[in-house]
Amino acid sequence: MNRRPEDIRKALDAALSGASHDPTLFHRVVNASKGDSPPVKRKLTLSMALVLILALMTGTAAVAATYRGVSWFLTERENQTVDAAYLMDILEQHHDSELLDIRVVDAYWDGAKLSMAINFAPRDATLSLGTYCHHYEGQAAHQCRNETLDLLLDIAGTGIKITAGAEDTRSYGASYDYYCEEDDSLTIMITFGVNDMSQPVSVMIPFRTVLRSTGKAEENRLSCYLPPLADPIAPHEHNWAPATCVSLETCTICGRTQGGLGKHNFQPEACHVTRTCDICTYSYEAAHSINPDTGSCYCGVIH
Amino acid sequence: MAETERAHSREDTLRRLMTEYEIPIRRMCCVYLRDEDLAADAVQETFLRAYTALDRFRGESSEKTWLMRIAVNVCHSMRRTGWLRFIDRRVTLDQLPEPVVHADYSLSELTIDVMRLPQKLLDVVLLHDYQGFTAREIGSMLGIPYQTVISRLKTAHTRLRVSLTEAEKGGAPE
Repeated sequence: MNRRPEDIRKALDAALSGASHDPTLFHRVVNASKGDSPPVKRKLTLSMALVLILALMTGTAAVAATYRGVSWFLTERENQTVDAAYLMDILEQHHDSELLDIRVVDAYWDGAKLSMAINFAPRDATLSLGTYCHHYEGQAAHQCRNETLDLLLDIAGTGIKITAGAEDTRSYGASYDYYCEEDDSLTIMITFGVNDMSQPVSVMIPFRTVLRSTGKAEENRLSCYLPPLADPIAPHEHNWAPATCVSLETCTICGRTQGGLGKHNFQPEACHVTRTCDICTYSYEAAHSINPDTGSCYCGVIH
Repeated sequence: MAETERAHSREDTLRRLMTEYEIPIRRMCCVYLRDEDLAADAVQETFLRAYTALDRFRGESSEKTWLMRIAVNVCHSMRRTGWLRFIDRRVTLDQLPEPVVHADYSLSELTIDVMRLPQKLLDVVLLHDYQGFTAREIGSMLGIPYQTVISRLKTAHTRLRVSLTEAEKGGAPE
Protein backbone atom coordinates (compact mmCIF):
# COMPACT_ATOMS: atom_id res chain seq x y z
CA MET A 1 0.00 0.00 0.00
CA ASN A 2 2.82 2.40 0.82
CA ARG A 3 4.16 1.99 -2.66
CA ARG A 4 1.09 3.34 -4.35
CA PRO A 5 2.14 6.91 -5.08
CA GLU A 6 5.64 5.82 -5.96
CA ASP A 7 4.36 3.19 -8.35
CA ILE A 8 2.05 5.64 -10.04
CA ARG A 9 4.82 8.21 -10.32
CA LYS A 10 7.24 5.61 -11.60
CA ALA A 11 4.77 4.35 -14.17
CA LEU A 12 3.85 7.81 -15.43
CA ASP A 13 7.46 8.98 -15.43
CA ALA A 14 8.39 6.10 -17.68
CA ALA A 15 5.35 6.41 -19.95
CA LEU A 16 5.81 10.15 -20.32
CA SER A 17 9.57 10.16 -20.60
CA GLY A 18 9.24 11.11 -24.26
CA ALA A 19 7.72 14.51 -23.47
CA SER A 20 10.38 17.05 -24.31
CA HIS A 21 10.86 20.79 -24.44
CA ASP A 22 9.45 22.54 -27.46
CA PRO A 23 12.12 25.02 -28.57
CA THR A 24 9.60 27.18 -30.41
CA LEU A 25 7.16 27.44 -27.54
CA PHE A 26 8.58 30.61 -26.05
CA HIS A 27 8.38 32.55 -29.29
CA ARG A 28 4.93 31.25 -30.08
CA VAL A 29 3.60 32.30 -26.70
CA VAL A 30 5.20 35.73 -26.85
CA ASN A 31 4.02 36.30 -30.40
CA ALA A 32 0.53 35.06 -29.59
CA SER A 33 0.33 37.42 -26.64
CA LYS A 34 1.09 40.29 -29.03
CA GLY A 35 -1.45 39.01 -31.52
CA ASP A 36 1.22 38.45 -34.18
CA SER A 37 0.67 34.74 -34.32
CA PRO A 38 -2.73 33.47 -33.35
CA PRO A 39 -2.67 30.54 -30.98
CA VAL A 40 -3.52 27.15 -32.36
CA LYS A 41 -7.02 27.43 -31.00
CA ARG A 42 -7.83 30.40 -33.20
CA LYS A 43 -6.36 28.73 -36.24
CA LEU A 44 -8.62 25.79 -35.68
CA THR A 45 -11.61 28.04 -35.36
CA LEU A 46 -10.82 29.48 -38.75
CA SER A 47 -10.56 26.07 -40.35
CA MET A 48 -13.76 25.04 -38.62
CA ALA A 49 -15.56 28.03 -40.11
CA LEU A 50 -14.28 27.08 -43.54
CA VAL A 51 -15.42 23.53 -43.06
CA LEU A 52 -18.86 24.72 -42.01
CA ILE A 53 -19.27 27.01 -45.00
CA LEU A 54 -18.21 24.33 -47.46
CA ALA A 55 -20.39 21.78 -45.75
CA LEU A 56 -23.36 24.07 -46.03
CA MET A 57 -22.68 24.38 -49.72
CA THR A 58 -22.51 20.65 -50.21
CA GLY A 59 -25.30 19.59 -47.91
CA THR A 60 -28.66 18.34 -49.09
CA ALA A 61 -31.65 17.14 -47.20
CA ALA A 62 -31.18 13.50 -47.99
CA VAL A 63 -30.00 11.17 -45.33
CA ALA A 64 -27.38 9.83 -47.69
CA ALA A 65 -26.08 13.33 -48.08
CA THR A 66 -25.90 13.62 -44.34
CA TYR A 67 -23.67 10.66 -44.36
CA ARG A 68 -21.48 12.10 -47.04
CA GLY A 69 -21.41 15.38 -45.20
CA VAL A 70 -20.11 13.72 -42.10
CA SER A 71 -17.62 11.81 -44.14
CA TRP A 72 -16.44 15.02 -45.67
CA PHE A 73 -16.13 16.69 -42.31
CA LEU A 74 -14.06 13.91 -40.96
CA THR A 75 -11.87 13.81 -43.99
CA GLU A 76 -11.16 17.47 -43.57
CA ARG A 77 -9.94 16.83 -40.09
CA GLU A 78 -7.95 13.82 -41.07
CA ASN A 79 -4.66 15.59 -41.24
CA GLN A 80 -5.13 17.15 -37.88
CA THR A 81 -6.25 14.81 -35.20
CA VAL A 82 -8.53 12.12 -36.49
CA ASP A 83 -8.35 9.06 -38.63
CA ALA A 84 -11.25 9.39 -41.03
CA ALA A 85 -11.36 5.76 -42.06
CA TYR A 86 -11.49 4.63 -38.49
CA LEU A 87 -14.16 7.13 -37.63
CA MET A 88 -16.29 6.14 -40.55
CA ASP A 89 -16.02 2.64 -39.29
CA ILE A 90 -17.34 3.81 -35.94
CA LEU A 91 -20.17 5.61 -37.67
CA GLU A 92 -21.08 2.46 -39.50
CA GLN A 93 -21.25 0.68 -36.24
CA HIS A 94 -23.30 3.41 -34.66
CA HIS A 95 -25.69 3.21 -37.51
CA ASP A 96 -26.88 -0.05 -36.11
CA SER A 97 -26.53 1.27 -32.58
CA GLU A 98 -24.60 -1.78 -31.59
CA LEU A 99 -22.39 0.37 -29.41
CA LEU A 100 -24.87 2.87 -28.16
CA ASP A 101 -28.06 2.62 -26.15
CA ILE A 102 -30.31 5.49 -27.08
CA ARG A 103 -33.27 6.26 -24.86
CA VAL A 104 -35.69 9.11 -24.75
CA VAL A 105 -35.78 9.45 -21.00
CA ASP A 106 -38.16 12.34 -20.87
CA ALA A 107 -40.30 14.35 -23.20
CA TYR A 108 -42.41 17.38 -22.58
CA TRP A 109 -44.91 19.11 -24.79
CA ASP A 110 -46.22 22.43 -23.52
CA GLY A 111 -48.45 23.26 -26.45
CA ALA A 112 -45.80 25.23 -28.29
CA LYS A 113 -42.51 23.59 -27.70
CA LEU A 114 -41.31 20.07 -27.62
CA SER A 115 -38.52 19.24 -25.22
CA MET A 116 -36.81 15.94 -25.03
CA ALA A 117 -34.09 14.49 -22.90
CA ILE A 118 -32.21 11.84 -24.76
CA ASN A 119 -29.77 9.58 -23.04
CA PHE A 120 -26.89 7.97 -24.83
CA ALA A 121 -25.15 5.19 -23.02
CA PRO A 122 -22.25 3.49 -24.77
CA ARG A 123 -22.51 -0.25 -24.60
CA ASP A 124 -18.83 -0.32 -25.28
CA ALA A 125 -17.33 2.19 -22.89
CA THR A 126 -14.39 2.82 -25.16
CA LEU A 127 -16.29 5.16 -27.40
CA SER A 128 -18.03 8.45 -27.39
CA LEU A 129 -19.10 10.73 -30.16
CA GLY A 130 -17.49 14.08 -30.60
CA THR A 131 -19.21 17.39 -30.70
CA TYR A 132 -21.15 18.02 -33.82
CA CYS A 133 -24.75 18.75 -34.43
CA HIS A 134 -26.60 18.94 -37.63
CA HIS A 135 -30.17 19.43 -38.66
CA TYR A 136 -32.33 19.94 -41.65
CA GLU A 137 -35.34 22.09 -42.21
CA GLY A 138 -37.28 21.07 -45.22
CA GLN A 139 -34.87 20.87 -48.09
CA ALA A 140 -32.38 23.27 -46.59
CA ALA A 141 -29.41 21.83 -44.88
CA HIS A 142 -28.25 23.55 -41.80
CA GLN A 143 -25.39 22.60 -39.61
CA CYS A 144 -24.47 24.17 -36.38
CA ARG A 145 -21.90 23.89 -33.75
CA ASN A 146 -22.85 23.57 -30.16
CA GLU A 147 -20.09 23.41 -27.65
CA THR A 148 -22.21 21.78 -25.03
CA LEU A 149 -23.49 19.08 -27.30
CA ASP A 150 -21.31 16.06 -27.64
CA LEU A 151 -23.26 14.03 -30.10
CA LEU A 152 -24.13 13.78 -33.69
CA LEU A 153 -27.73 14.80 -33.87
CA ASP A 154 -30.10 15.19 -36.76
CA ILE A 155 -33.52 16.66 -36.41
CA ALA A 156 -35.87 16.47 -39.31
CA GLY A 157 -39.56 16.78 -39.87
CA THR A 158 -42.00 18.76 -41.91
CA GLY A 159 -43.85 19.86 -38.79
CA ILE A 160 -40.89 21.46 -37.12
CA LYS A 161 -40.70 25.16 -36.73
CA ILE A 162 -37.34 25.87 -35.28
CA THR A 163 -37.59 28.59 -32.69
CA ALA A 164 -34.85 28.18 -30.16
CA GLY A 165 -31.21 29.00 -30.57
CA ALA A 166 -29.11 31.95 -29.59
CA GLU A 167 -27.14 32.50 -32.75
CA ASP A 168 -29.38 31.22 -35.44
CA THR A 169 -33.14 31.46 -35.38
CA ARG A 170 -33.41 28.19 -37.26
CA SER A 171 -31.40 26.34 -34.70
CA TYR A 172 -32.95 24.22 -32.08
CA GLY A 173 -31.76 24.62 -28.57
CA ALA A 174 -29.66 21.96 -27.00
CA SER A 175 -29.84 23.30 -23.54
CA TYR A 176 -27.53 21.08 -21.65
CA ASP A 177 -25.69 17.89 -21.75
CA TYR A 178 -25.44 15.91 -18.62
CA TYR A 179 -22.59 13.51 -18.27
CA CYS A 180 -23.22 10.73 -15.83
CA GLU A 181 -20.07 9.16 -14.50
CA GLU A 182 -21.97 6.24 -13.05
CA ASP A 183 -22.77 4.67 -16.38
CA ASP A 184 -20.67 6.87 -18.63
CA SER A 185 -23.78 8.06 -20.37
CA LEU A 186 -24.69 11.45 -21.72
CA THR A 187 -28.10 13.05 -21.58
CA ILE A 188 -28.98 16.04 -23.68
CA MET A 189 -32.07 18.15 -23.61
CA ILE A 190 -33.27 19.53 -26.88
CA THR A 191 -36.13 21.90 -27.37
CA PHE A 192 -37.81 23.06 -30.50
CA GLY A 193 -41.09 24.55 -31.55
CA VAL A 194 -43.57 22.55 -33.53
CA ASN A 195 -46.07 24.46 -35.61
CA ASP A 196 -48.18 21.63 -36.80
CA MET A 197 -48.60 18.62 -34.62
CA SER A 198 -50.48 16.76 -37.30
CA GLN A 199 -47.21 16.42 -39.15
CA PRO A 200 -44.75 13.79 -38.05
CA VAL A 201 -41.73 14.93 -36.13
CA SER A 202 -38.68 12.83 -36.09
CA VAL A 203 -35.41 13.03 -34.31
CA MET A 204 -32.62 11.04 -35.78
CA ILE A 205 -29.43 10.16 -34.00
CA PRO A 206 -27.57 9.53 -36.26
CA PHE A 207 -29.73 8.44 -39.13
CA ARG A 208 -32.03 6.52 -36.85
CA THR A 209 -35.30 7.86 -35.67
CA VAL A 210 -35.57 7.74 -31.93
CA LEU A 211 -38.79 9.60 -31.53
CA ARG A 212 -41.54 9.91 -34.02
CA SER A 213 -44.22 11.71 -32.14
CA THR A 214 -44.46 14.09 -29.26
CA GLY A 215 -44.12 12.62 -25.87
CA LYS A 216 -45.64 13.92 -22.73
CA ALA A 217 -44.37 14.11 -19.22
CA GLU A 218 -45.44 15.74 -16.00
CA GLU A 219 -42.33 17.81 -15.65
CA ASN A 220 -38.99 18.37 -17.19
CA ARG A 221 -36.27 16.42 -15.47
CA LEU A 222 -32.74 16.00 -16.60
CA SER A 223 -30.66 13.66 -14.60
CA CYS A 224 -28.95 10.37 -14.95
CA TYR A 225 -30.90 9.25 -11.92
CA LEU A 226 -34.28 9.81 -13.50
CA PRO A 227 -37.01 7.96 -11.72
CA PRO A 228 -39.50 6.38 -14.09
CA LEU A 229 -42.46 8.51 -14.99
CA ALA A 230 -45.64 7.78 -13.16
CA ASP A 231 -47.70 5.29 -15.10
CA PRO A 232 -51.06 6.62 -16.24
CA ILE A 233 -52.38 3.08 -16.06
CA ALA A 234 -51.48 0.09 -13.99
CA PRO A 235 -48.37 -1.68 -15.24
CA HIS A 236 -50.20 -4.87 -16.12
CA GLU A 237 -52.66 -2.94 -18.27
CA HIS A 238 -50.05 -1.84 -20.80
CA ASN A 239 -50.24 -3.47 -24.17
CA TRP A 240 -46.80 -3.07 -25.64
CA ALA A 241 -46.42 -3.02 -29.39
CA PRO A 242 -42.92 -4.12 -30.36
CA ALA A 243 -40.25 -1.55 -31.20
CA THR A 244 -39.24 -1.03 -34.79
CA CYS A 245 -36.38 0.92 -36.29
CA VAL A 246 -38.52 4.07 -36.27
CA SER A 247 -40.52 3.68 -33.09
CA LEU A 248 -39.94 2.69 -29.54
CA GLU A 249 -41.88 -0.06 -27.86
CA THR A 250 -45.23 1.66 -27.49
CA CYS A 251 -48.26 0.98 -25.35
CA THR A 252 -51.30 0.89 -27.60
CA ILE A 253 -53.51 1.99 -24.71
CA CYS A 254 -51.73 4.97 -23.17
CA GLY A 255 -49.16 5.76 -25.84
CA ARG A 256 -46.26 5.49 -23.47
CA THR A 257 -42.96 4.40 -24.95
CA GLN A 258 -40.13 2.49 -23.44
CA GLY A 259 -36.82 0.88 -24.32
CA GLY A 260 -34.74 1.58 -27.37
CA LEU A 261 -35.38 1.27 -31.04
CA GLY A 262 -35.56 -2.06 -32.74
CA LYS A 263 -33.23 -3.16 -35.47
CA HIS A 264 -33.68 -2.31 -39.09
CA ASN A 265 -35.51 -4.93 -41.03
CA PHE A 266 -33.01 -5.32 -43.84
CA GLN A 267 -34.13 -7.24 -46.86
CA PRO A 268 -32.71 -9.29 -48.42
CA GLU A 269 -30.04 -10.64 -46.11
CA ALA A 270 -27.62 -11.80 -48.85
CA CYS A 271 -24.27 -10.06 -48.51
CA HIS A 272 -23.91 -9.36 -52.24
CA VAL A 273 -27.23 -7.54 -52.62
CA THR A 274 -27.95 -4.04 -51.41
CA ARG A 275 -30.03 -4.41 -48.32
CA THR A 276 -32.96 -2.13 -47.68
CA CYS A 277 -34.94 -1.70 -44.51
CA ASP A 278 -38.54 -2.26 -45.49
CA ILE A 279 -39.73 -0.04 -42.65
CA CYS A 280 -37.68 3.14 -43.03
CA THR A 281 -36.19 2.41 -46.48
CA TYR A 282 -32.66 3.00 -45.31
CA SER A 283 -30.36 0.96 -47.49
CA TYR A 284 -27.01 -0.54 -46.96
CA GLU A 285 -24.78 -1.06 -49.96
CA ALA A 286 -23.87 -4.63 -50.65
CA ALA A 287 -20.72 -5.53 -48.83
CA HIS A 288 -19.63 -8.10 -51.43
CA SER A 289 -20.12 -8.93 -55.06
CA ILE A 290 -20.38 -12.03 -57.16
CA ASN A 291 -17.28 -13.38 -58.79
CA PRO A 292 -18.34 -13.93 -62.42
CA ASP A 293 -15.85 -16.78 -62.81
CA THR A 294 -17.21 -18.85 -59.97
CA GLY A 295 -20.75 -17.56 -59.69
CA SER A 296 -20.32 -17.28 -55.96
CA CYS A 297 -19.72 -14.33 -53.73
CA TYR A 298 -16.16 -13.26 -53.15
CA CYS A 299 -16.68 -14.03 -49.50
CA GLY A 300 -16.87 -17.66 -50.49
CA VAL A 301 -20.53 -18.17 -49.79
CA ILE A 302 -22.58 -19.67 -52.59
CA HIS A 303 -25.86 -17.81 -52.56
CA MET B 1 12.44 52.69 -21.53
CA ALA B 2 10.89 51.39 -18.34
CA GLU B 3 8.26 49.69 -20.46
CA THR B 4 10.91 47.88 -22.48
CA GLU B 5 12.67 46.76 -19.34
CA ARG B 6 9.44 45.47 -17.93
CA ALA B 7 8.75 43.53 -21.11
CA HIS B 8 12.20 41.99 -20.96
CA SER B 9 11.68 41.10 -17.36
CA ARG B 10 8.38 39.40 -18.15
CA GLU B 11 9.97 37.49 -20.98
CA ASP B 12 12.77 36.37 -18.69
CA THR B 13 10.21 35.18 -16.18
CA LEU B 14 8.34 33.31 -18.90
CA ARG B 15 11.55 31.70 -20.08
CA ARG B 16 12.35 30.60 -16.55
CA LEU B 17 8.87 29.23 -15.98
CA MET B 18 9.09 27.27 -19.20
CA THR B 19 12.48 25.86 -18.31
CA GLU B 20 11.22 24.68 -14.95
CA TYR B 21 7.67 23.63 -15.62
CA GLU B 22 7.13 22.95 -19.31
CA ILE B 23 7.90 19.25 -19.04
CA PRO B 24 5.72 18.53 -15.98
CA ILE B 25 2.87 20.49 -17.54
CA ARG B 26 3.29 18.78 -20.90
CA ARG B 27 3.18 15.40 -19.21
CA MET B 28 0.04 16.29 -17.30
CA CYS B 29 -1.63 17.52 -20.46
CA CYS B 30 -0.65 14.37 -22.35
CA VAL B 31 -2.38 12.22 -19.76
CA TYR B 32 -5.43 14.45 -19.64
CA LEU B 33 -5.90 14.81 -23.36
CA ARG B 34 -4.35 11.55 -24.57
CA ASP B 35 -3.09 13.27 -27.64
CA GLU B 36 0.35 14.73 -28.09
CA ASP B 37 -0.78 17.48 -30.45
CA LEU B 38 -3.66 18.54 -28.24
CA ALA B 39 -1.30 18.51 -25.30
CA ALA B 40 1.02 20.83 -27.21
CA ASP B 41 -1.92 23.19 -27.73
CA ALA B 42 -2.76 23.00 -24.06
CA VAL B 43 0.80 23.75 -23.00
CA GLN B 44 0.91 26.75 -25.28
CA GLU B 45 -2.44 27.97 -24.00
CA THR B 46 -1.33 27.48 -20.41
CA PHE B 47 1.81 29.56 -20.83
CA LEU B 48 -0.05 32.13 -22.88
CA ARG B 49 -2.58 32.59 -20.09
CA ALA B 50 0.17 32.67 -17.50
CA TYR B 51 2.18 35.20 -19.51
CA THR B 52 -0.86 37.39 -19.96
CA ALA B 53 -1.63 37.24 -16.24
CA LEU B 54 1.95 37.43 -15.05
CA ASP B 55 1.52 40.91 -13.58
CA ARG B 56 -1.48 39.76 -11.60
CA PHE B 57 0.28 36.79 -10.04
CA ARG B 58 0.83 37.86 -6.46
CA GLY B 59 2.70 34.85 -5.21
CA GLU B 60 -0.09 33.67 -2.94
CA SER B 61 0.63 30.16 -4.10
CA SER B 62 3.77 28.69 -5.57
CA GLU B 63 4.45 29.22 -9.25
CA LYS B 64 4.03 25.51 -9.83
CA THR B 65 0.62 25.48 -8.15
CA TRP B 66 -0.46 28.49 -10.15
CA LEU B 67 0.67 27.03 -13.48
CA MET B 68 -0.80 23.63 -12.74
CA ARG B 69 -4.11 25.20 -11.89
CA ILE B 70 -4.12 26.98 -15.24
CA ALA B 71 -3.10 23.79 -17.04
CA VAL B 72 -5.82 21.75 -15.39
CA ASN B 73 -8.39 24.38 -16.33
CA VAL B 74 -7.16 24.46 -19.91
CA CYS B 75 -7.31 20.68 -20.16
CA HIS B 76 -10.80 20.56 -18.65
CA SER B 77 -11.90 23.18 -21.09
CA MET B 78 -10.39 21.39 -24.07
CA ARG B 79 -11.99 18.12 -23.06
CA ARG B 80 -15.37 19.78 -22.81
CA THR B 81 -15.22 21.54 -26.12
CA GLY B 82 -13.79 18.89 -28.39
CA TRP B 83 -15.25 19.89 -31.72
CA LEU B 84 -16.01 17.79 -34.74
CA ARG B 85 -14.00 15.03 -33.30
CA PHE B 86 -14.84 11.59 -32.29
CA ILE B 87 -13.18 11.05 -29.01
CA ASP B 88 -11.67 7.64 -28.93
CA ARG B 89 -11.96 6.43 -25.40
CA ARG B 90 -9.73 3.50 -26.03
CA VAL B 91 -6.68 4.24 -24.00
CA THR B 92 -3.31 3.15 -25.27
CA LEU B 93 0.22 4.26 -24.65
CA ASP B 94 0.47 5.15 -28.33
CA GLN B 95 -1.43 8.30 -27.46
CA LEU B 96 1.56 9.49 -25.46
CA PRO B 97 4.88 10.71 -26.81
CA GLU B 98 7.27 7.91 -27.72
CA PRO B 99 8.92 7.10 -24.38
CA VAL B 100 12.66 7.11 -24.00
CA VAL B 101 12.46 4.92 -20.92
CA HIS B 102 10.60 1.67 -21.37
CA ALA B 103 8.62 0.51 -18.39
CA ASP B 104 7.83 -3.11 -17.69
CA TYR B 105 4.43 -4.49 -18.54
CA SER B 106 2.84 -3.96 -15.15
CA LEU B 107 3.82 -0.31 -14.98
CA SER B 108 2.48 0.24 -18.48
CA GLU B 109 -0.80 -1.31 -17.43
CA LEU B 110 -0.87 0.93 -14.40
CA THR B 111 -0.37 3.98 -16.61
CA ILE B 112 -3.25 2.94 -18.81
CA ASP B 113 -5.47 2.40 -15.79
CA VAL B 114 -4.60 5.84 -14.49
CA MET B 115 -5.46 7.35 -17.88
CA ARG B 116 -8.77 5.54 -17.82
CA LEU B 117 -9.85 7.14 -14.55
CA PRO B 118 -12.79 9.52 -14.72
CA GLN B 119 -11.71 13.12 -14.83
CA LYS B 120 -12.42 13.92 -11.19
CA LEU B 121 -10.33 11.02 -10.00
CA LEU B 122 -7.66 11.65 -12.59
CA ASP B 123 -7.34 15.22 -11.31
CA VAL B 124 -6.43 14.18 -7.80
CA VAL B 125 -4.24 11.24 -8.77
CA LEU B 126 -2.17 13.34 -11.16
CA LEU B 127 -1.83 16.23 -8.79
CA HIS B 128 -1.21 14.18 -5.67
CA ASP B 129 0.54 11.00 -6.70
CA TYR B 130 2.34 12.35 -9.72
CA GLN B 131 2.96 16.03 -9.10
CA GLY B 132 3.30 15.69 -5.35
CA PHE B 133 0.81 18.33 -4.26
CA THR B 134 -0.81 17.96 -0.86
CA ALA B 135 -4.51 17.35 -0.52
CA ARG B 136 -5.00 20.88 0.81
CA GLU B 137 -3.16 22.38 -2.15
CA ILE B 138 -5.23 20.28 -4.53
CA GLY B 139 -8.42 21.37 -2.79
CA SER B 140 -7.40 24.96 -3.26
CA MET B 141 -6.45 24.41 -6.90
CA LEU B 142 -9.63 22.62 -7.84
CA GLY B 143 -11.92 24.58 -5.56
CA ILE B 144 -13.13 21.54 -3.69
CA PRO B 145 -13.04 20.72 0.05
CA TYR B 146 -10.09 18.89 1.52
CA GLN B 147 -12.29 15.94 2.48
CA THR B 148 -13.48 15.60 -1.09
CA VAL B 149 -9.89 15.39 -2.29
CA ILE B 150 -9.19 12.65 0.25
CA SER B 151 -12.34 10.80 -0.71
CA ARG B 152 -11.53 10.99 -4.43
CA LEU B 153 -8.00 9.81 -3.81
CA LYS B 154 -9.31 6.88 -1.86
CA THR B 155 -11.77 5.99 -4.61
CA ALA B 156 -9.07 6.30 -7.25
CA HIS B 157 -6.68 4.09 -5.32
CA THR B 158 -9.39 1.50 -4.85
CA ARG B 159 -9.98 1.46 -8.60
CA LEU B 160 -6.28 1.18 -9.24
CA ARG B 161 -5.79 -1.54 -6.69
CA VAL B 162 -5.57 -4.35 -9.21
CA SER B 163 -2.98 -2.55 -11.28
CA LEU B 164 -1.06 -1.56 -8.21
CA THR B 165 -1.01 -5.10 -6.99
CA GLU B 166 0.37 -6.17 -10.34
CA ALA B 167 2.89 -3.35 -10.21
CA GLU B 168 4.09 -4.50 -6.81
CA LYS B 169 4.53 -8.01 -8.14
CA GLY B 170 6.56 -6.44 -10.92
CA GLY B 171 5.75 -9.02 -13.52
CA ALA B 172 3.56 -9.37 -16.51
CA PRO B 173 0.44 -11.44 -16.09
CA GLU B 174 0.37 -14.66 -18.00
